[in-house]
Amino acid sequence: MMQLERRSPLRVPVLLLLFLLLAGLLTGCWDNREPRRRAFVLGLGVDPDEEREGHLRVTAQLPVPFAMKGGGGEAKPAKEHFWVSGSGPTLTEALTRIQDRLSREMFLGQARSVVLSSRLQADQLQLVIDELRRNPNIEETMYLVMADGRAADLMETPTPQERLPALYFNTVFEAVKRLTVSAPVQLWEFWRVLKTPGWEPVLPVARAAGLNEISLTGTAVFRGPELQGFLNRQESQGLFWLLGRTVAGTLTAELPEGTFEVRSLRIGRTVSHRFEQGRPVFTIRLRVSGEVAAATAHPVDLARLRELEAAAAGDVLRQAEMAMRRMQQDFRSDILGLGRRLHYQEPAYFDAVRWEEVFPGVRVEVEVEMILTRKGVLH
Amino acid sequence: MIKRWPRKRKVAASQQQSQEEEEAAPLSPPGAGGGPDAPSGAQDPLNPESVPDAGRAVIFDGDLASARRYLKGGIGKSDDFRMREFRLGGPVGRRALLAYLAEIVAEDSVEEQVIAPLLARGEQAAGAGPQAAAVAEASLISGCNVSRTSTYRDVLRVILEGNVALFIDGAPEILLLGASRMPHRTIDKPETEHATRGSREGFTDMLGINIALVRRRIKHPKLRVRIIRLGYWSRTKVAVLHVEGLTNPAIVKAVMARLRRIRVDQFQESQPLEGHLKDNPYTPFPTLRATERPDEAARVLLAGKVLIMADNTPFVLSVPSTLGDFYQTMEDYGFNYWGASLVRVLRFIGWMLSLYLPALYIAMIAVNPEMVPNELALTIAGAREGLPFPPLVEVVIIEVAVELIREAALRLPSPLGTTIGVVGGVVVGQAIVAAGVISPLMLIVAGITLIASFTTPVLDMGFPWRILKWLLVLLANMFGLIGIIVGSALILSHLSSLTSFGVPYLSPFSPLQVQDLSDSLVRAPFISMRRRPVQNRSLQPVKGRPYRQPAEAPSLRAAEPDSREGEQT
Repeated sequence: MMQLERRSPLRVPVLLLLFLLLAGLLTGCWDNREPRRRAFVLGLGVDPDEEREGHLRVTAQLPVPFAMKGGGGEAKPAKEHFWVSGSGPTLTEALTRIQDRLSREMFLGQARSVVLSSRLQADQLQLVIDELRRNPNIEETMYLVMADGRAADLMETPTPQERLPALYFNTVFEAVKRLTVSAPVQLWEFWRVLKTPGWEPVLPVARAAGLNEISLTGTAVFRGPELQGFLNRQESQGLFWLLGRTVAGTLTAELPEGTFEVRSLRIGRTVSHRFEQGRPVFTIRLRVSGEVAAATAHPVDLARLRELEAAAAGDVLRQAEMAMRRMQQDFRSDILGLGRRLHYQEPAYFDAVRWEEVFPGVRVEVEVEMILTRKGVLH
Repeated sequence: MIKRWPRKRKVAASQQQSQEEEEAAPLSPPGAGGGPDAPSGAQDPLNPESVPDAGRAVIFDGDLASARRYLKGGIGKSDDFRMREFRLGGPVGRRALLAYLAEIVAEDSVEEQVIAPLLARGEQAAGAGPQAAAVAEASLISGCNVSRTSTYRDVLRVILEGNVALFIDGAPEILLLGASRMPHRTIDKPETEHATRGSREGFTDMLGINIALVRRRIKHPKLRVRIIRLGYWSRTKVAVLHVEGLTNPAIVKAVMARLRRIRVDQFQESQPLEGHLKDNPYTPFPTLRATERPDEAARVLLAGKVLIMADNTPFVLSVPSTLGDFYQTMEDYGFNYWGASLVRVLRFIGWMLSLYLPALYIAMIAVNPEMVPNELALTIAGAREGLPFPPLVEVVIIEVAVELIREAALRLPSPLGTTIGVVGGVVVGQAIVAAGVISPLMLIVAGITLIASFTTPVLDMGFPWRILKWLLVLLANMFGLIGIIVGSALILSHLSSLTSFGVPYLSPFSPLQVQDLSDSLVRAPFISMRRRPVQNRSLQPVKGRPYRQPAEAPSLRAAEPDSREGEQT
């Protein structure tokens, strides 16, 4: 009888089924955790601890779970989120301090942004970025933002439009397609630039403006993990032109007829380099297409378009050169990644020099060509 | 009324025997002690080796008294068995004996076509001596379905099928007269395969009518019908249909060979047949497509498939059938190709949802919440505050409840079924959410899953997915999305291991048959489908000539002058 059963062709499926059913009875399989046992961290802020030298103070923003219920009906608690902060020599250590103050297991998988204080030391920043990268629960695509001042202040600023302030940057960076003052930087991008020879990272800068307003104010420029300073609005736009990205603001062109505001639509960019007397010279060619957004005088004679285009191009060039000057003279930081180009294409030269010392003296020629489209709209 | 005779009646007894050996499991012989239809103890009906009288037939010797004795000893023990004795051509003519089962014979037509002419002019036959039966057949009996035999086995068979056997004293041949009046259902709409555009006829429970329905749709002399009888006790007729010169003979041969190997005591539906004919009998997936629609049956027959029709069921099987065949319906050919393709894609989406939705719910909520968009994750988390059960328990509760409602609604008469739907679905669903036992999202998931599962056009195909859904739910609970992927890989590897009469189950996708893709997930326009599916390995792969578009249109310009003239005058 046993022999018969052992030979039964149903044996394997039956055993498999039994195994699966029994496995279903196991509790706590790996990552299986009910949502009501998890504390979703939506955003992190990292400051240097003001009370203990060398420590980090990490602020985590969490939703009040009951308030997140969709739909109407029951009364919701007044506060929808709260902050917990913890201090420690490393980010991980600070996070465990935060965990000590939470009843549920902290879950970082939904964190969408990390706010880094501008007061962080270079080695602290390096450490934080490294820990974020190494934590398997943290999304590589989360946004990094630099706070001009304390990160906790920025985290605690209520945002009237967003239910949860921590999601503010997520929304800003994903909703706004054309750049105004700062470009979004994700964790993996920052890491990649940081680790690429001849390329220096940037971060968008935000500050708490007034009581309930977060405002993006510019771009933070690093050399390695070391903060060099901020580009203001105009200079940031110059940087975006040089990077070949369209800018939301308008260009001003002064003509004898009147003042014209030109909005950029599309941009093409080519970078080339050559050597003159053993020194590299870069040429960045920008081809910007745009349309007239506003004018004090019209109609414009079509024959005068060339003039108008040239004037608008001049405004692009002005902003670009302003940014270039700041980069080379004040920050001495190659955030355009020109050095990377040499690293790939002229490895012998790149290896022979110290790029961060050469870069400030390198000549960068910027050529801008402006093409106005949708001319019919002029009239 | 439709009558069918076993094929090739008029052959010599010896030939007939070998024929019968091939085509039919044998009927019991007249046992010496017991009745002819009672197997004795040594005869195990399920063991093919011990089937009694395999091929041996008892011959009628022309002695009416012995025939009477034989019938009395066996089938005559039933009270519905009738024997009517009379004399051919008047009081002194030769004796004749009619034997039949009263409830399934049209007695009035027997009277009119057999008894009346034989009584009136029977002396012609009586004078013919041993040739009496042949003479009666040739010049007296007016019915059209008449044949002769000399074995009791044939006699019993035709009697059991509702026909009449006529013994004439002194003539060694028995006349078999078609007069069956088996009760049956009339042709009705197909219950399980509705079509908004298409034939309204469905198969009935009677094999003869079903064959007629297919014959009506394929009026070609090469349509072959082969009938064999299966089931030791039930003696159910099974017809195998194919088109000679079109269907691959290897498939027909395989079907016949497998059918002949079946040794069961009975079957009342085509499902047991399917269980016996499958390449892989243990798989949860059906590998023979059942249909209730004669138009669908005719279509697949001309696509190079073989039909297997069992008596007493409206469900006709077609082979070989691949996974894709179960998601194609006749209606796909009743719409233009845009509509048909839309419906096919919808079915695919429905299938995906019904299989994956509960598993994804668990994986996304319990194991991999980082895969959900922020706002949704928070909404879910908020909605689950204060709920007592983990997602797995929730899924089990709700899905079991849904299956119960579905089963209850199926079993009840249709007006009550609606009530079950309302009470079970709406009232209990509302209450269970309001009571805070189950999250509203779970109810949405369960509802969509249920509705999506009904998009599968063939009922058989619903069951494996309903079962495998649970496998995925368990894997998702343990390993999250990884578990779902692993589960899918297991299912896929099982599917790709299946064959239906040698045709890979996943074809035309795996192995890839580019040509057959034109009628798979989408349906190409008719003018571009000029070939039969490659998977059926038809002997005639091409089914149509190239058709040039646009077709010639009548010139309207030529008609213009006339109409203008008309206006002017």
